[in-house]
Amino acid sequence: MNNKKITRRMLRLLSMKISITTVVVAVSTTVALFGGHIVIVSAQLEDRTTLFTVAGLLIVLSWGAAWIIPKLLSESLEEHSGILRALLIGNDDRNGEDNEDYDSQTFRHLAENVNEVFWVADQTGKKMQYASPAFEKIWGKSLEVLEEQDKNWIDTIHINDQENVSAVVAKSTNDSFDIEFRIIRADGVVRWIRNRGFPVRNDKGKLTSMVGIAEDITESKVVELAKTEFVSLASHQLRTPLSTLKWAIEVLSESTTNFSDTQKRLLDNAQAAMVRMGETINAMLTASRIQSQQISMQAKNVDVKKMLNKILQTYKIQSDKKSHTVKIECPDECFVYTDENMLTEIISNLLSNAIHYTQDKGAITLSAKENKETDTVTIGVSDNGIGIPKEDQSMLFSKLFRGKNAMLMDTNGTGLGLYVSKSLTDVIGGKISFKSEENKGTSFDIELPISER
Amino acid sequence: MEPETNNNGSNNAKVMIAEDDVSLMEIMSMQLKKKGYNVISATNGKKAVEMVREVNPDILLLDLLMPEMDGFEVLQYMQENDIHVPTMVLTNLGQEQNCDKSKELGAIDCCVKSDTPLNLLATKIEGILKSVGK
Repeated sequence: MNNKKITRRMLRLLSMKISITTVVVAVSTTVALFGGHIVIVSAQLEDRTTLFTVAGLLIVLSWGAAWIIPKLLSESLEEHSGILRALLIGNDDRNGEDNEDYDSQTFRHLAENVNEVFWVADQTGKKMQYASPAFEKIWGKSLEVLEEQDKNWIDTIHINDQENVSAVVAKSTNDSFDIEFRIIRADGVVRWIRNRGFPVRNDKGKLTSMVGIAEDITESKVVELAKTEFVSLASHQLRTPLSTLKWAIEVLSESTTNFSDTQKRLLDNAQAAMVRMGETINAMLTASRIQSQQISMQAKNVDVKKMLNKILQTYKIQSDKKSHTVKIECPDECFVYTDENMLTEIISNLLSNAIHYTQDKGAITLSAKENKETDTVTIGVSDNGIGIPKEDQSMLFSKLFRGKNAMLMDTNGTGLGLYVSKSLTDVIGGKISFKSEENKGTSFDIELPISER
Repeated sequence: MEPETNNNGSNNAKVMIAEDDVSLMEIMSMQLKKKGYNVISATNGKKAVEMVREVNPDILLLDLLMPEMDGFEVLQYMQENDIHVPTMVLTNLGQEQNCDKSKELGAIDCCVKSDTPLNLLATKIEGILKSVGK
């Protein structure tokens, strides 16, 4: 049985209990008042003193009953909630009733003994109505902090994460949310929490509450952050000598025109190897940041034609070396609201692949066009190179995957480029697609929303 | 100092390099001198700050990871002390947050060294100098 169902039943039971209590109070009060009235009327005819006493006693007794009956009923409701719930929700199947009881016990047992916090909140997803005991273990705070007036669970998390979490939760009452944040325990220790919430709706589709699971992910987070930290440190340490090498060779190759053909070829090879090394370091860094979700979009209006020209400039040496004809087909006024660094990295990866996997004198086109109906821009990179074999196409965006013919042509690829391009396209809210035929060529398309989402 | 144009089309503007890696410093300064610039160098952040005050360069090429004071601290110091020297950050720290942070602290441009050929760097320097009328 899913959590939604259990929560719905818990809430329904609660509301039925309240309405039964109200009915009992109302009936008892009416009986007491009516009885008292009759006695007072009769007292006007008979011995007043005796009858006034009897009337007083009757009123006191009726009010006493009005107070005690609902209380008893409420307690018995509590005790027999399983059976009553089955009755209240109209479940007359004996087996079903047993299942309900079994489910309810199992759920409670589960909720109270697992290491994750099960919770039920109001429609805003912020005010907790129920949180399982694991809360006290993970947060190091009493459950009472959730019950305080005007406070919600977001107040119990790290101050720096509150704004972000609050925004995500507010946005996702239409949908589920999955968010990571830090908390500071009462003992001052910082822990990482992953909290997932799901909306609960009634039969009419109206949002009634949010339910979810919060878990302590500190251990895996620490490992993940250490790994990213290591990769970023390593890439810095690799880039520093690499830039010295690159610049030294650049200066060297421009310093004289008297190089022999062999010397020139050696310098060219060194330069190409260094460009490759730079690409590998960048891809490694981005892949590791994608995995640890340490990547966020910084959008602005990007002039697509200008960007394509800039990318082409960076790859000019390599494409000239293979005598490729590279052209840009893009209208002058073409803008897209996105993260320029990420889009540049996506297109650079695609262009680098096109250059690598297209034979000498091949043709490569960078294109962009606006699609008025869908309010999107499609940026394309196409070549007439070696293509991607049919059997390799489904694996194309997997990390470390390389096509068979690509490996035959060039053993040096990392298998990270397309994985990075696909992941970054997801981050900036675009779609990546491709068409390819072996020995004919490949074309990749990136479709992006034009305006701010 | 009178502006004086050399055959590369650049004048002898004062270009200051703050960079702790000696080989990178040597190559950069060699190329920039060849273009006719007057090159001043500092090998850590603290020296950079002192020399910026002393020589008032026309442009500062600033590394981020340096001993004594890092590039961010240099930018912050210049901001707090109203020192307006057009600054281009040159780093090998790859994350764009570093470039964003540098720009927030007043840097005009930010490049990853290993991704920027020296010729492109020279073009950028020329562009910045031109934009400030040098």
